[in-house]
Amino acid sequence: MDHKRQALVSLIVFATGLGYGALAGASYEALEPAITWTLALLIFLVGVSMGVDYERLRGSLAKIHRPLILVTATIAGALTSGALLAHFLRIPVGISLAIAAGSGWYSFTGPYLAIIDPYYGFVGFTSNLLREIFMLISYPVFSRRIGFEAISIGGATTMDSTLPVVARFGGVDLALAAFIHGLLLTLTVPFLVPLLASLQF
Amino acid sequence: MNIIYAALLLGLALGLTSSRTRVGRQVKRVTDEALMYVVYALVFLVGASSGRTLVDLASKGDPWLAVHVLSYMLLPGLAGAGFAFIFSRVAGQWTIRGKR
Repeated sequence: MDHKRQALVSLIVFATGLGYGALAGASYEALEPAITWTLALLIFLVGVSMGVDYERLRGSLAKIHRPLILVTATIAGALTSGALLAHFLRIPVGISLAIAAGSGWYSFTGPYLAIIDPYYGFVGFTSNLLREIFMLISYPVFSRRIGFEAISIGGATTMDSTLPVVARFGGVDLALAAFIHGLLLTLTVPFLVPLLASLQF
Repeated sequence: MNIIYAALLLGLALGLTSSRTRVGRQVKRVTDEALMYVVYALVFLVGASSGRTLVDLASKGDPWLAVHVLSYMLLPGLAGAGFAFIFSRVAGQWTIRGKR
């Protein structure tokens, strides 16, 4: 199956899920166990895929600087877009930067910002949740030309929930870069979001 | 989250073990095929879980809310990809190409 067809199938599957969720009123809480176990299965398969390709993986480990550049770019993108959106959408700069720096980690960004303001908590949760979905849908399309750079779209989710899509469409080398990128962001976001949200301008 | 790390370690161990055997290639082929279908299952579940959120969003009737959500959904990631594109070109010729 080629990339375009797989992307189309992903889109149809997502739309079907969306329709089911809207009609059945399924909440994230209700589906969380199924998502967690499917995710575990995906990560297990990614692990097997990486393990079988051990020789290639070992070669990739020598190139650790690539995910580091990617993390820098992801954070630079979040800060730049957060500042721009604060100006155009008239949102406090600190809050805007914090939402953008959430990097797809909606279960952290949403609840954290909800303590400050429920409205921004909702925006932080939903936008970061949809960012993960945007990555799942768009990566198959972007992977053909900018497979490495497009990992940024997934943010912190590239170490778990969106890692399989990178592995499937980008290959083992990119999956390793995505995992390290997601891991470093997962370590950074819990410090970055509160710091940015505390900015008083 | 611990289950995720455990699954990854277990998968890596199994993959490494099978890479040293004659069935290594077969395991890789079956895994990649299974991966595709499990990705679809995840896409469906994530869609189903966010369906109600989108309905809630529409029912609030605030157009700015949708603009805010969509802006923060799209811009940070795309800007990050843009910066990565620039940084990788500036830093040299080490951008990894995706699998064809």
